[in-house]
Amino acid sequence: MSKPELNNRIRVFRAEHRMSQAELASAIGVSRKTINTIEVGRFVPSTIIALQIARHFEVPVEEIFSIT
Amino acid sequence: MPSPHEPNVADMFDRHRRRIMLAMLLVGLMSAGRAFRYVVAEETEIYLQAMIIGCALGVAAIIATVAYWKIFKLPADQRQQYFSYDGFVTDAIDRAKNISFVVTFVVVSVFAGLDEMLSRPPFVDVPTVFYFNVIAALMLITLGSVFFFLDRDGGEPEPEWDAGA
Repeated sequence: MSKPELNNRIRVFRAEHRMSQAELASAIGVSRKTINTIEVGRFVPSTIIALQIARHFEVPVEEIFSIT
Repeated sequence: MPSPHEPNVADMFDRHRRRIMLAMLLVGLMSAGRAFRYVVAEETEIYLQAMIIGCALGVAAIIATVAYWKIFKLPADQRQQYFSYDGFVTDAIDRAKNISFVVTFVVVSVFAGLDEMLSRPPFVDVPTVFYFNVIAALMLITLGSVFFFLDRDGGEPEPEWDAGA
């Protein structure tokens, strides 16, 4: 079985809310680099960060993150 | 939501962690300089001494600025957040620590396996402190280098809708 990969739709949600990475980062209390590296798949966020992002966009976490 | 003009505390945490990792790298270079003093020609020693002093001043400046910021500038309610902060840079430090540990362990194991060779000249001609400095240099230079490699770029540029932000 191959290693699962985490996909995310943060960029899509940011675009819908017309938010910059810096604004989202400030809103959930992480650095801009953290948001950037999550978006491009370089960093797998902790459960807390994933839930904070989902809560910010008011959607279930599965709508933002999925594994393939 | 915080104002976009307010400085992001998490970005400051990242900057301070990067400075601490730079200080670690400089301490590693100091250890390397101290180790090489035993094996280089006397005329080269003066350059090593200058490098060690330069690194020491850099480390002192970094520690002073980070300590000043943490003690006098960081609000008390954010000090706890500083230590529990979770993000890309914290993760990169953890990964760098793991790699540094593995590299140091492998090199020390190799040294330990070469005990017969290391107990003969010229290896016994250098003091034990040389080996301690080599190990410290290896550990800290690996830690700093791996961290800055992992943290090497800011990722992809922000798309158009971010331009006005």
